[in-house]
Amino acid sequence: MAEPGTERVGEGLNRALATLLAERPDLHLIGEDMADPYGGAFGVTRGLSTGYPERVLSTPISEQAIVGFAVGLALRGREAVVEVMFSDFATLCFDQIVNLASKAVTMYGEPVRMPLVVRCPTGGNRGYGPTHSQSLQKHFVGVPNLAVHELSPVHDAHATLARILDSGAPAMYFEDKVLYGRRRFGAAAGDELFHCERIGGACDFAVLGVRGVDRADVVVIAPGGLTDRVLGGMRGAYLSDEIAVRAVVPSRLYPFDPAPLAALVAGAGRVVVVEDATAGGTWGAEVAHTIHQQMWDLLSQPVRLLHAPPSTIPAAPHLERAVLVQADDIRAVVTAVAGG
Amino acid sequence: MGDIRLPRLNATDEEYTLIEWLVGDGAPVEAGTAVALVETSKAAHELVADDAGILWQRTSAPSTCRPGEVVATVGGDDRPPPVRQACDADPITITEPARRLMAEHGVAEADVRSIGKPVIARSDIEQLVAGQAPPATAERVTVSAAQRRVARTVSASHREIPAAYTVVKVVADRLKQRLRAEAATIGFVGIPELVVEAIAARRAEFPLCFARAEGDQAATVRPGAHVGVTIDVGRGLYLPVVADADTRPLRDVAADLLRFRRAAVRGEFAEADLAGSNIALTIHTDADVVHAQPLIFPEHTCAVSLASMQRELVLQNDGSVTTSDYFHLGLAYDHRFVNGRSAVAFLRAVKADLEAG
Repeated sequence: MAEPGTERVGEGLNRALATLLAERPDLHLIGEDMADPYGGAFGVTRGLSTGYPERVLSTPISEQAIVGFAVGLALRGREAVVEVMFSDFATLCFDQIVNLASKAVTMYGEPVRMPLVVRCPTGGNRGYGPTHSQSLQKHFVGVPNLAVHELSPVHDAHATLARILDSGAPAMYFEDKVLYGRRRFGAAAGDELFHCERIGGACDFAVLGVRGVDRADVVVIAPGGLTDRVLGGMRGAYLSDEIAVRAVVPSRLYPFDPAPLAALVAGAGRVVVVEDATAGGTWGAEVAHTIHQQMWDLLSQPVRLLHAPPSTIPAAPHLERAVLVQADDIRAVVTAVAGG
Repeated sequence: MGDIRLPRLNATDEEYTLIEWLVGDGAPVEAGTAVALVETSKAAHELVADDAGILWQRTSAPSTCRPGEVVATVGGDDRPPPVRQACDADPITITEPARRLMAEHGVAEADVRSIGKPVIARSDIEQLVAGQAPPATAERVTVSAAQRRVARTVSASHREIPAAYTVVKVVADRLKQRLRAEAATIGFVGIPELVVEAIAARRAEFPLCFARAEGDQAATVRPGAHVGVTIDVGRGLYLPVVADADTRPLRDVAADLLRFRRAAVRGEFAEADLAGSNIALTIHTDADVVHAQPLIFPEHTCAVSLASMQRELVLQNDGSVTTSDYFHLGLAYDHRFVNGRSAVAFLRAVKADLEAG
């Protein structure tokens, strides 16, 4: 294993799961092709079935049954982490998540613990085509008792997963596939231009900015999977035009509580929300609405949203690149907003 | 014989991990021997030697490698020379606006290192060029709305009006006697009141001094003498107007100015108080001010300045020495419409009225 400073995000996640298995004797990991030597489609659970053969369970293709099984474990006092091979397949277990797991928390007359995490490798930019590249976070936003989290290169996966399990409520955990092979923040070439500060709050906000630049002209709020692309946009905006951007990366996407961002929003007056989803009923729209409600007086213009265009995601890398939000798109929007 | 380069094993990873060497450094290999284990984000791959020979490792394990990088050489008995590693000083990042300013001033990248910041912005270069150390904390003062109005007026004046300036000396001995007499009948009267009266009295004789410019070609002349008087009690510069000063008695002029001073203190001028002047009197009567050149307000062609009272010794015809009071009266004028000759004539006419008492 690489040393922590240079660790890949996927390695960090593997280490987090191994630590959770060691700390929590009732925890089970369930998913397709999880057993060694494969360790899941992206190797995130590699080595774990060898260490914990009774609790790392490899299954056939059966998304609905996998989540139903995990809900049953949680209802009986165990803890469960499910790996959905690609987040696109979360639609197959939507019923178990929305109609069973989230409701079980409150529908039996007394609160019931439901320590369940559904891990979903998500997003595009890997050339996997229309049915393996989507970002479906928005479909899980707004379900009572269901939290939505996202993996990031600045948050510690172990702390996040432990907090979710301790909360006793079910959660989705989206993991951008591109992150698996990326270094943790601070260990990759180019990161030294930026500093990272954790300001906490219920969403566990991380705030990234250009080193030595105190002011913020624009605040960009984006999920963890976009961190690299946002940093790319920030780099271009500052080095070319000295537009100072602060990036806000939440660990928990929903419920979204912007309260700790008030000072930042007041200082910049301009907010952009970036996400990989297509427009319409999105997480970004929820964030914009919440900020408008609570911080309208602090804004110099309405919150701007940046989405992927309404398209099926192509498999050819150059076409896929054109459809998904990229660093250049973020920079263009930031530059336009800063001039307004 | 040859280098073993790391092939591109998938389209999406920019780097892989060389997990372990399967063949020791300096050991013989056959063509087709697996020599190392490389891990991508999806799977582990074996790296195979194409040729037979001695394997010389060019990197340690585990280590991070990029596609195309030489990780080993298969060759003869001699170890190949080490791969040269680039060894730069700490990287320094400079923004484009900063680079442009560096080019303008011939600042080299080495000079910029002394700033000691990881990211160099245009403002850092500005400070470097000015020879100043960057301040730890700089206080930024935002000007008030009233001062922003002043700023706009001053800028417009300097931009648009080609001003000239002439100053005359006014002996104030008789004028002071008159002030005492007027005070006895109409209450408080000061020199500014008498100057307003004297300026207004010359309206008919010097209409272009009471005009308004329309570009370089023409000026409009409005009836009446409406004298704007500068008042600043620390709440911003105002120019309230004594309207029709040429037809109303000194008593009314004095009443207007008294009202304006009170309004300035309270900060409650009415819009009507401030509109419609066609000449300005700027007052600089603080002690020791002997000369002040006023700007010409954009709606005027002239501004008269009044400096503070001075005292001098005067040699009389009989050889005796007495004291005399005087002050300077200046005229800034828009040279497009008023020339020096008429400016001096106007000043001398006003001076004559004041010195007559």
